[in-house]
Order: sequence, then structure tokens, then C-alpha cells
Amino acid sequence: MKRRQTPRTGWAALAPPLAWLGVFFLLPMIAVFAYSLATREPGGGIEFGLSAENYSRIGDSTLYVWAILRSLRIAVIVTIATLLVAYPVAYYLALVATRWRVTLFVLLIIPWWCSILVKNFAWVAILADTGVLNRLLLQIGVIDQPLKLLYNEFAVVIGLVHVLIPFMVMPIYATLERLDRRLVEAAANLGSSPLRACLEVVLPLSLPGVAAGALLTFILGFGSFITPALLGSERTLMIANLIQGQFMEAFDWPFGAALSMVLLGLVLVLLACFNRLVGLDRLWGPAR
Amino acid sequence: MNRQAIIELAGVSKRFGNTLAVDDVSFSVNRGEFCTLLGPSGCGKTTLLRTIAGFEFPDEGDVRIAGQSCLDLPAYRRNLAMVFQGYALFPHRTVLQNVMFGLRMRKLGTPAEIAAWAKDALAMVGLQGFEERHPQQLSGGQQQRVALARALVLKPEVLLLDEPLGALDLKLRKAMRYELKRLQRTTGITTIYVTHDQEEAMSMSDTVIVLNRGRVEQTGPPEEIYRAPRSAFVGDFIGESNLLEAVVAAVEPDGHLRIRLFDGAATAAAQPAEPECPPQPGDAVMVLVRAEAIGLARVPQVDGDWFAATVSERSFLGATTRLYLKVGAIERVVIADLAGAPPVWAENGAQVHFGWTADAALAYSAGSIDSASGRQ
Repeated sequence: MKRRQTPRTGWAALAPPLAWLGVFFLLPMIAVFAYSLATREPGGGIEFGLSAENYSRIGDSTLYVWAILRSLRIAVIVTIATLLVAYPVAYYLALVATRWRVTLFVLLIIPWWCSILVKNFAWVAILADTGVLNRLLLQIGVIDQPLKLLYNEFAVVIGLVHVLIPFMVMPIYATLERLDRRLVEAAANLGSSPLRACLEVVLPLSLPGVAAGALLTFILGFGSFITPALLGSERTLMIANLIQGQFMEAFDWPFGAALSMVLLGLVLVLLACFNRLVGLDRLWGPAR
Repeated sequence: MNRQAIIELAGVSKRFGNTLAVDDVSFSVNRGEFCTLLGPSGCGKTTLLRTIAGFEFPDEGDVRIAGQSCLDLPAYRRNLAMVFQGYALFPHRTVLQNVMFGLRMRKLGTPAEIAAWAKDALAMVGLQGFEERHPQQLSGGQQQRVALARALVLKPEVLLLDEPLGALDLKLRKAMRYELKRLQRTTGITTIYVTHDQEEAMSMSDTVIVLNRGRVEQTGPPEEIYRAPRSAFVGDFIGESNLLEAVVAAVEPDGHLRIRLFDGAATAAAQPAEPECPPQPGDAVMVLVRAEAIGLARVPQVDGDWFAATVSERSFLGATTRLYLKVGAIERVVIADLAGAPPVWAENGAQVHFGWTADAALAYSAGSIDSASGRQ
């Protein structure tokens, strides 16, 4: 029998994680928020206060609005592309592979341990004018001028898809793994070809996993800054690149902090919508 | 070849890794027949059903549907409908959509026709008004009916049922047994039913196939399987029986055996179960006596063989009362089912005598001890 815990012992058990979150999450968050309300003095110092000026400055230049819109667009494209690549992988791992499942999983996880820089630079080597792909195409004579494959949105999308695939595969795999195989057999017994069974039964029942994977991929893609910095150009700058610029180059911490808060706000709105439509508990728990 | 046979299995074997799940099984099921595959868990009955459905492919042997080998026919091209253990209803579809699913997949009619047939099928199982619910909103018994409707609406050549009543409580299980049998008789559909519940098998089937360790032990109508079990395993598995170790003392002129049992403490008459090769004096045998075939007396009777015992437990079962009788010093417990109220003198701890007629004791050669598993 489960005994109801008194509130006192409940809070005591929660104290360590709450303290951890407080120190490493809440305090820095408050600090960023405080910075976003501060003003920068001409000498370079910072005066804390309650000024909304940094927020209103965001609207002054179309640069930031465009960067946010561009980030949203890239995140959407990356999410769709990642889904298209990841779904078959997750499907194969969960429903087809039996003997090789562990091996394939290790192969999927290993790149996760290697730095995002390495994964992005690999694409430089592949997509550059003198890179592997262009030289191959030149050699077989498909093209006579190297294609401009690098330092554009295409390269950024490819780089991000590569990095984010595991975040899409895992939640989809998790829902497919829990799928009752008898449902697939029942569909076959009722006359569905394997493809029909997949479309009518497997796909609809895996949608919670797809939603979870899409959310993770979208948020990570939306806030990415390393990949657009390495594989993109100044014309593909994303919002996180501009934030980084404010902190590291312009040394305008209050404005950078305000941009960060806006980015955070957008993500929170997105999470709220997701929670409304699918339920956030689907991200880590099984469907009830 | 039997023209009536719709499903035929010939020498089917199936191996999973090192386990032989199905070992050279052959049987056939006639059109309109209610055939039950009965056996303990792991006997291969579900594997056989899945082989017929096309979810497993035999390593050896052939499966024929209506005379045609179907080994190269994938599951979705076989005109069979299966009711799965746990029902396997589609949770993302309504009850009506579940029942319409097969009709849609097999393109059996126009959308309007399909919806009408599906509603008829739901009415047939008594689920009008549940069309728009989702399976999760139904009770186990209702889900069971949806699964049945989903299968029957296809008017398949054969209905396959995999322990369909296993998840229901006892009362509902008995009601559904009757319901299933009624549906089967009114539709006349050939049915192959898998269960480990002998009562289910006995009460519903035209033919019972008893399986043990991947092999067919006996095939026949329920009465025959009950009255003349061909092996000690079958006799032990079906009904409440006593399985006693004994040694043949003599073979009498009328063919009956004299056997020594209870560690040689007593002798009794028995009938050889395999008259074609009856056991010889000195052979070890297993003697099967039905619990209801055992008679009880306060003092030994003049006719027949009677054994002294102590009543160690009584349990009231309604129509019968079961006595657990401890025999002599060896503490072998024999169960006896007595119709109606047992005599008052047969109380716990009382000294009584019990016996049986020679025809009620079937002697099997002791090789079958092995197959009688650990059941008591």
C-alpha cells in the first residue's frame, strides 16, 4: 500500500534537487533578467535598474526581427528534414532490427559523444569548393564549376540535421518500442499490406513520439549558434549568433540579456502550446 | 484427401532457437467445425494458430487452406480472421472504425455498405450505441465483443481465437463461452480455438486436439477424450484425476490387470489403456482414476478392492464435495469427488475406505509418467 507522505517529508526529499536548480538554473536566470533591465553607461559600466529600453531597442532595427524569423524558418526546415531521416531509422531499430539492434544503437550514440565542432567541420571538408563532394562531381563531369554548397542556409540545415538526429530518433524509438506488436499483426490479419499497416496503425500511434522529437529538435535548432557560425554566413545569422555578438563583441550585456529573454519567452510559448496539444509528460514518459 | 477439410496441417514443425515448439503436428479441421487446440502453456498451441494465420512459417511441413498450400501466402492475403489474446483493438480508432477496418482494407464494399455491415456486426454482439466510443472506454467483456465483431464482419473462411476469454473474470468467461458457441452455431463458421482451460475446450468444441510439448497427444470429440484418454497426460490434464504409480501383478483371462499400488500395500483391478500392447506382469504402470469414479464406504465392502484411508481435508464445491484421502503410512493423497452432500461420518480425520470399479482405472505403461508433467 502506498502511504501518503506528509508535506514536511515531501519537501525535505525535494530539497537537494531544488537547491541544485536554484543555484545552477534560477540564479543565473535572475541574473540575466536583471541585466536585461539594466542600462549601459557610456564608459562601459553597467547601471542596474528597471529600464525597458533594451527591449524596445529590439524593435528599432529589423535585423533582430529578421534574425528571429530566419531562426524560426531554419528550425522548421531542420525539424522536418530531421524527422524524414530519423523516422525510418527509429522504425527500423524498434520494429525490424532484432539481432543488430544493440550494435546499431551504439553506432547511433557514438557521434553524440563527439563534439559538435568536429561534426560541423566534417561538413566543411565535404561541402567546400575543393571539398569531397565538389571534387567528386567535377571528376565524373556532372558539373564544370564547383557548386557553392558551403556558407549558406543549405549547409546550416545539413549541419543541424546531422547534429540533431539522435534527439528525434530516441523519442520516436521509445514510442515504437512500446507499440503492441499484436496491433500490427491484427492489421495484417484484417488485410492490410505492410505499408498500409504502417500508415494506418504504426504511424498514428507513434505521433506522440514524433511530437516530442520534433519539439526537442525545434528548440535545439532554434537556439543553435555554433553551426550557423561555422557553416553559414552573415546572411544566415540566427538569433543566438546575434546574442553571442552582443555579449562577446559589442560588450552590450544588457541588450544581449534582453534578446536572451525574448528567445526564452518564445521557447516557453512553444512549450505551452505543445503541452496544450500533446502533453509535456509525453517527452519522457509513456503515453497513459 | 478429405473434401470437407478447410484447414490441413501436414507434418508441421517449428523451432525457436534450440526449442522445438511444434514437433511434427498433423491435423485437419472440417468446414463448420469448432476445433480446440488444448494444452498447457508452452505446448505449441499458440504457435500452431499463428502458423495458420501466417505470422509464423513452419520449418517443415505444409499448411493448406481449402486444399491450397498457403506457405507462400502472407498473412494479409489469407481469408482468416483472428481474435487476439488481449484483443489487439486499435486504441486510436473508435469501436465502429475498428470493426470497419478489415472491410476497408479488403475493399469489400462501398463506404456506406461497410459502415452498415459494421453496425450490423456490432448489433450482433450486442453493442449498439457503442460505435463512437474508444476501446479504452469499454470493459474487458465489451472489448472482447468488439474483437469478435471485427473478425466476424469479414465473413472469413475460418475464425481463429487465441485464448479469447483469458482476460475475463470467471462469471463473464462462462457467459461468453455460451455466447461464442451461439455465434459460431448461427454463423456456421469454422472455428479454431486455442485455450489452456479444459472446461472451455470440453464445453464448446466439436473436436479437441490435446497438445503437449509440441506434439499431438490425442484428437477427438470431448466425450471420447474424457472417457478414453489415450495417454496418462491427457487423462491427467482433462478432468480431476488421480495418477498412481503401480506395478502389474498379473494379467487376468478377461484382459483386466491385477496391479499392486501404494508401495505394494494393496492390489486392485485395472483396465489396460492400450489393449493392443497390454503391460506384462512386472511392468511399471501409471494408473489413472477419475476423482468422481471413487466410491467411499465406512467399512470395506465385500465386492471389489477397497483401501483404508484417512480424510485429511474436505472442500465443498457446490454440486460435489471433494475429499482428500491419505492412504496408509505413505501419505499418498487421493482425491474423491462425491456427488451431493457427503456422509456425516466422512469428517476430517475419520477412517474410511475407498475403491473403484475395474473399468474406472486405466493403466498406462510407465513411459508416460514422463509426459504427465508435474500436475497432480
